[in-house]
Amino acid sequence: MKLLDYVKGRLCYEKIRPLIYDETLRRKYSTGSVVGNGLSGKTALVTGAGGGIGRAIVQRFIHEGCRVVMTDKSMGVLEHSLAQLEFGMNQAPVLLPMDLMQIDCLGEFARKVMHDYPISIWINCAGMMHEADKCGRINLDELEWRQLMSVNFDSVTTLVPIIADMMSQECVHGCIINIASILAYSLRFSHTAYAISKIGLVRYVECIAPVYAGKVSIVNIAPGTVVTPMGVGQYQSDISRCTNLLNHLIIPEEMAALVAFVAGGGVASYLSGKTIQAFAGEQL
Amino acid sequence: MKLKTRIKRWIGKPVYIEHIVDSRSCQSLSSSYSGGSLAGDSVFLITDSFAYNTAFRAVAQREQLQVCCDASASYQHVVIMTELRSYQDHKAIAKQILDMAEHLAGKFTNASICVAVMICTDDLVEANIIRYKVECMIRVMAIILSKKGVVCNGLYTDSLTHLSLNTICNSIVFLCSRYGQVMDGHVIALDARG
Repeated sequence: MKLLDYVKGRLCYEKIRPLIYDETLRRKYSTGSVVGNGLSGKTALVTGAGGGIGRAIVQRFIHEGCRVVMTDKSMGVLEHSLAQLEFGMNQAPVLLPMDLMQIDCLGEFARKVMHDYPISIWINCAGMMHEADKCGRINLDELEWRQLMSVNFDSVTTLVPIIADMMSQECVHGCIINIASILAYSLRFSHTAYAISKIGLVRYVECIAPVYAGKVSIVNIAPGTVVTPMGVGQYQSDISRCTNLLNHLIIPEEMAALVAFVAGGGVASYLSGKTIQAFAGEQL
Repeated sequence: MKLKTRIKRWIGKPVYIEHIVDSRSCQSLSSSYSGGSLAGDSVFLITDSFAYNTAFRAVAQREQLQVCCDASASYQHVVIMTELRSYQDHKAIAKQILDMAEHLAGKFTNASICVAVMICTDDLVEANIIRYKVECMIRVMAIILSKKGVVCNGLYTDSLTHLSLNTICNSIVFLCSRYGQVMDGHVIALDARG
């Protein structure tokens, strides 16, 4: 008998209890205010609002009573995203297509949208990752490299000074939030181009934030692995993983709540120039 | 996959590890900083300052969060609000965290310990040492406590930063809530360097 118990004991193995990212879980992380109504009546622009973290941010900001301008590369993507959002009668987001690869056109677009809408919060959420970049070398050709750098880094460095200058001219304190990545802190030799673009973002904000101190807050948030089409995991699937301290992948609604708290929780000016590491001790 | 692992998966019995997720339904509170996820919960506040105590109780009342006075009572969250003048003082905090973790271990799905440190020294070197020590302490504590199902995070500020106590308490409430779980092991720096 003892031998049998011993064998049974030796055969036990540890397994993380499955966690399904479904509508129920999504809703539970979408309810209630996290900013004490601090975003009510404000206007925010979100790039990359066509899906993933961007769409979750839009939904959170609408929930907080904020007027939202959604941008992504095409109107089709935006309309598809809009169909999945919930909003009241007077809360319909504004849809503006903007291709972040067209760096030369971004300045004009930013000036026009800042002129047309009273935007006090700008969230640079758009990002791209090439399949070839997931291997352990820089496998991207010249065009892929330029595309990735345009969307992840050049667009931000082009937009931020323009937006910050225009926000500075207004009396209201502005806030710019950039979505970086855990890969900016990773020592792994994969996703090399993506990691380079994100660590560039971290250093760029450290340098530019003091220029606008007291007028505009510029903050980075570096999420860990999030359940998005670009990351891993899918809607309606098991998101339990042993990669972080929570034993599950981060859901976009958690990130959206953090972005809202930074933008409207009264802490943005104290966080300017810094990067918030929101990856729950994840090890890559 | 190793052969030994394959055999275990085939004929062995799984021992489930729980993930840290707060999937309870919660009521929607106006002016909340926790999304209402702390309503009905209890917190044990450790502080030696009357001002911190008063400010936190006011915020907790708004969040419908009960503040316990007895360490042996049942509570889901622990908040430590303290002032540090020397880098050697952090050892006491580490001991408090470990003691409180024993109390919370395995009892709740939303247990958390949040440490708020006010750095009160004019010595720049001393202040920087305190910052790094607090960050390292929380990072390590979070790894230890995650095995017990407890989230550990925090924030620090300094005497040069004229941050209101209300803002500090609101931030603590966010960190203790379900939305602060993603900050497990991380310390938010709300200091004058920003």
